[in-house]
Amino acid sequence: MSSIADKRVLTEEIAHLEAQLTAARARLNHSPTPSASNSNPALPPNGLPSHPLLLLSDSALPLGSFAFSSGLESYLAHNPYPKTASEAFPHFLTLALTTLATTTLPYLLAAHRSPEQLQELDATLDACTLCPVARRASVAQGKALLTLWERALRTGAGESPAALALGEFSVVLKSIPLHRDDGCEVSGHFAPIWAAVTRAMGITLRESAYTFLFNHAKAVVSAAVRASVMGPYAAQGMLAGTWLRGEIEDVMARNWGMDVEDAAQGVPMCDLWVGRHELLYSRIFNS
Amino acid sequence: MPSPFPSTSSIAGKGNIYLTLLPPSTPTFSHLTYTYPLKLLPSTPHKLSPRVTKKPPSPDDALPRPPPPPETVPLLFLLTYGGGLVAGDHIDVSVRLDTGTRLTVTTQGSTKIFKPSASAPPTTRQELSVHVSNHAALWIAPDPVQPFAGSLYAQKQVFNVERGGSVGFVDWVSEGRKARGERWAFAGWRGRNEIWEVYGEKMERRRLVVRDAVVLDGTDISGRMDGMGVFGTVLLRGPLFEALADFFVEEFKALPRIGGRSWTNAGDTAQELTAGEEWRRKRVQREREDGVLWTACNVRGCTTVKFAAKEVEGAKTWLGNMLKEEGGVGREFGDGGLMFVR
Repeated sequence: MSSIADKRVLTEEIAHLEAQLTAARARLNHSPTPSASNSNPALPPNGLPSHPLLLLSDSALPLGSFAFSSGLESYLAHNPYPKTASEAFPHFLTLALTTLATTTLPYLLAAHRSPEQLQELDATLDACTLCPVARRASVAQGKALLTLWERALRTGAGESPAALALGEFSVVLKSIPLHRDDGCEVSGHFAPIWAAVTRAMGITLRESAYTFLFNHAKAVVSAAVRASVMGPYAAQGMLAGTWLRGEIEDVMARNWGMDVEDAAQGVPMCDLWVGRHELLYSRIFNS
Repeated sequence: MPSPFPSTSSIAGKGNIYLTLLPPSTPTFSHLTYTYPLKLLPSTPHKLSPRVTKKPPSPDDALPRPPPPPETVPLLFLLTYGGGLVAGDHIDVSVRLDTGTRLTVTTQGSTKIFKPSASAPPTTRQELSVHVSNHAALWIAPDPVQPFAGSLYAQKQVFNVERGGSVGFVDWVSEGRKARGERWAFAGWRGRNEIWEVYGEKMERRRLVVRDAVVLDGTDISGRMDGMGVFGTVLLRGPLFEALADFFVEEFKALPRIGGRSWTNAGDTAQELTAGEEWRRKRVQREREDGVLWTACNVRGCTTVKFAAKEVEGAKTWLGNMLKEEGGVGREFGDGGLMFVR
């Protein structure tokens, strides 16, 4: 156990040092000193936000995330009376973020720190995801991201252990027959693949985790707009507000040190709402 | 943030259960030991009537025939002194079932988890480690854990199951002492259930089949439970639970659609319902009254049932209704296996 912890500490340290090195190189290249001939007057001294990060936080990313409401539709159907939908929504969003952070975030963190463990992490996450509706949502987005990586993102990212791990993962995933419930060790869950892709594209651990959770919040908020819970301006207001930011930072802080073995469902009711989505008479979402 | 579950160093309530089969088919405890505060009490075993298997003999004679069922299924009560556990208590039970044996484990009343005092380490722990051999079967049906306000509890159950072995269990937790106004007022509750498939020549290899884990800590646990008073999981794996597992999944699929409209008139009773349909209609109505929500699905060769209800009684009624209607638990494990829903 201690060797794993040591390894993780070392891996983190290496990642940190690498990031420092990259930052130092970038500062050197974009040095605003007048002597530097290649200085770009359009860029601020600290550089612009990471280009890959902007790319991966785009809601137009073809992952199909819009098809999933993460239980919102079912939640609203189960709680039609006590509160109006717009009052109940922030509560639900907190629960959705808590669920994601307690069940999935540890896998994201582990896969970003040690991308070479991608296959094991995916297999363990599969054993821990017992709700078929949630499995569908996770695997659909994970596979979509893997395809996106192979077809579009890989060439620009260059060589790295994470890129290598993604390549191997893809080979294993394609070599097994589809729709097998048993014996299939690699499934393609979203969080570990997200972690490996962001790592391969040079996005830091914290940015990767924050963006993952924020993207999830965006998908749920967008589902709320389409489910007529709130209007588009209220939705953007919620995304822009300090409340959501605080919620994401809070769930990140609370689950930052959690081991993969300790990942657990923090909102058991979410399993019921998501699982009972299949019982809804009419549905506009896949989850 | 550090884990709210610090390690404990108090004396463990250790239990050791080893069930073997004396020839021709008499199950015997070759080990049954326990230390304070744990008590393992065997009760009248359930007699299995020798009967022919329902399934017609497989045309594929290459398949080895399962051995005949054991003569009896022992019933074991897992008890704690005073009916509860104080802070720092550490229950650690190990169970091993030899080929062809069956065992039913239950409790007598809910396991109360008391609030920590200033001196003892705060966490109460229960651990269970199980090995189920080929053609062996285990049914664990305890009353719900009842954590009192302020208590801190961690539970871990690991089931190592050989191919052909069966395991089924219920794991549930209630909101606390409702009469005293406690609603999910404990400091922390952590539960983890794992089913591993063990295989290989010497059963030296194992593969994680499912891990079901719940953690309830931090602030506003009550808000997360959405007005429910009890939450639980039933996990089923193996040939002996196949029929029960299918029953849960089929009944889940047959639940009325949420938000759907019934187009039949109240007075329109021209359509005769079969006994099963009538039972289902009544059960669904009762589920509504008791605020029972549940799901069932088969994933990775295990069937997972999750349920929640406004009150423990409602969940008991629902679970008992399901188990008795299907009948497998009573038949294969005896009435002791259904005591927990009485």
